[in-house]
Amino acid sequence: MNETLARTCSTGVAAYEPDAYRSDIRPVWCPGCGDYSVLAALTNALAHLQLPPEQIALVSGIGCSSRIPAYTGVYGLHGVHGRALPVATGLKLARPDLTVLVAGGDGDGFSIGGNHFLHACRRNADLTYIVMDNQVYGMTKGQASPTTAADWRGSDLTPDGTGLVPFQPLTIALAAGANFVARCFSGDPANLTEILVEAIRHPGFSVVQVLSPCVTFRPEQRQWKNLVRMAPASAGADLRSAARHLMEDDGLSIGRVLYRGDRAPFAVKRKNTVEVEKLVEEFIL
Amino acid sequence: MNTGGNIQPERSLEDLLSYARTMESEAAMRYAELAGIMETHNNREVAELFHRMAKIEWLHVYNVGELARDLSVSDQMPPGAGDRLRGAELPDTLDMHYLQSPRQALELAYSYEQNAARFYKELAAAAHGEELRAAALQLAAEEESHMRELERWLARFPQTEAGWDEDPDPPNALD
Repeated sequence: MNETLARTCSTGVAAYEPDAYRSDIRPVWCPGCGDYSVLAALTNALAHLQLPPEQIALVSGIGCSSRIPAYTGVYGLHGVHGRALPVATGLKLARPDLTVLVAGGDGDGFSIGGNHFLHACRRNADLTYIVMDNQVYGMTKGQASPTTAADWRGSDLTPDGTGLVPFQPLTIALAAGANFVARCFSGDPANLTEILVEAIRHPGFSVVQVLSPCVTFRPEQRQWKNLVRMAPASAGADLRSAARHLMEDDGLSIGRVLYRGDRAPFAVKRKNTVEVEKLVEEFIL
Repeated sequence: MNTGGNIQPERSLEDLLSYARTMESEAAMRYAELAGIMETHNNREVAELFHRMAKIEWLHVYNVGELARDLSVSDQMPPGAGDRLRGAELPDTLDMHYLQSPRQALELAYSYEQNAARFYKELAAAAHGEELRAAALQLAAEEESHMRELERWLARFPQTEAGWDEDPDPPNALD
């Protein structure tokens, strides 16, 4: 018996099920990869919101996690490395009626796309940015990423560690003006689903950092399951308490909304429409 | 992760069944996901076992639906389900390995079912009314019947040999 039948039998109501947001393409992530659970949580969240699939767009960059649009049945763009956010911003401004989601990894979002991340936070367009953070470049076989600890010696490129201070995405998101900030763990997908529902509903730029283990190049991340803990109760619009929590945190507290701002989302005023013939006239020499 | 404090007395039978349906649907979908992962990685024997577990879980969803037939049970995920389900320890892709043996897959499934049975028993112990307690115990008994089924399957597979995860050409090999 499948889910649709089970639900229909139990309630008599057929609706958008999580599978309605999946494509026929099967993920090729490594077994044990946290991104499977992120995909499941995302489709569960969309089913919870009952958003028509044709009203959703999912934009990604490059990397293992950025494969995600191919595995969904919503409109998708597997774009340019680090450039998912500007593409998604353009799409949202041109088509404010769509629910626009953005997905990618820590390398794509915070290194190659770091500048876009800052300005997407500032701009506060109504987007939900899901960052699957595994603290490594997995697709290129395990190099240190912006969020890798300074002393990680797992790559031949940095045999003594990078010696660099890891990027703090949520602290920076807060400082740059993101309107909704949360951290989750892929190993807690029911909670991730709830947070994604909230993030998608919340107006403005929502950042959800998902600790998503790379079991191939960072096998020690399997231990995250035993190390993560619930963050203190969900926050409101108090920027200072959110910032204080993040500054004192070791990056392993999860499962709560850390900041929920009330800034109005960025939008462009629609110009009056003109007839095509009038537009053509403007280009006649 | 510390799961203490997630099991709370249910407010009503509708509440319990709403959680049960969410949990069983989650379990079914995750078993199907695990099966898909193993198919992609050419471990067909383990994939088949997980497909069978997914079917069993969908049957469980149906049974919960039957229990809820005359009640007004919400089809939506109950608020706070994320916190509450943490104690249930559902099937998790993080536990997968591409060279996993059928026996290991069954042992994993057994541990998930054991956790689910424990989850319902704790709910029964914390339930306020007799009706609630009986429903939670009925759900626990279903999980225990899955465990007995898995025990029969486990008896058919030999113990996993040492070195099962050795791969002469591992995916993280540097070229």
